[in-house]
Amino acid sequence: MAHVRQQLRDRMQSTLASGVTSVSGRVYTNRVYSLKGENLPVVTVSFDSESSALGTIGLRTMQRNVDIMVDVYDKANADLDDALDDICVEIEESIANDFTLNGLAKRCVLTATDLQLTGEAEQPIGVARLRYSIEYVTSINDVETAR
Amino acid sequence: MSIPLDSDLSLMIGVEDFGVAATLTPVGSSATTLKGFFDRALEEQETDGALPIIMRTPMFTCRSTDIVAHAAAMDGALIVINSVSYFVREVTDDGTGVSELRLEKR
Repeated sequence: MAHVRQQLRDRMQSTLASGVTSVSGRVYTNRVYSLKGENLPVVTVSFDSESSALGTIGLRTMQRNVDIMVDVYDKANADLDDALDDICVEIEESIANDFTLNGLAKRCVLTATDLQLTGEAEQPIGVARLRYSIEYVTSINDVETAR
Repeated sequence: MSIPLDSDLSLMIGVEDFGVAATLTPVGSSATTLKGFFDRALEEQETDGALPIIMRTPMFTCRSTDIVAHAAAMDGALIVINSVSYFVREVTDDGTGVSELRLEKR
């Protein structure tokens, strides 16, 4: 078994890989290498930060909140923001239809979206960042099982 | 005192060596032919996302005198190089008689 945090990332990756058809399965988790322009559009899923606190003293459960960033990369000569938003539609609806990420989380909520466009290359590049806040619970001494 | 580099530049950018002929159509004007160096290097583009993207960055380097008459019509001008069309997105005159055109693939 793996840390529930890893299971959450993996679940998001598989949910998006099957639900976001416009990226043809190009959904990566924790990728560290550069993307290639010819492979766009691409979606990446990465860990940002997590806060946690003791939930119930008697039962020793941990209430956890992890922020996961879903980045969408695309290129287009025109209407790049529209193209990004089209992919955002697929992402938001896929995650909403898997609100508990297969029972691993209590809830998975979109908390912010940022859009950035740049025109330094052969074609304009755009990135949309969707920040998800995921609440989940584990035992204090078993972080591989979601409660 | 300025140095008359134009004729030297014309020789340096000759299509006999590494130069290419391009067809430039400034916005609202008719097409004209000019010579220059074409480069399409792969460069890493930083983004606000978690990762950079490796993309081609096409540039065309030519004599400033070949484009000075169209200075006001270069933003969005069309340039065809090796049968591929590009839009001119940025012109940088380096002050030595040479200009660099940043291109966007059409």
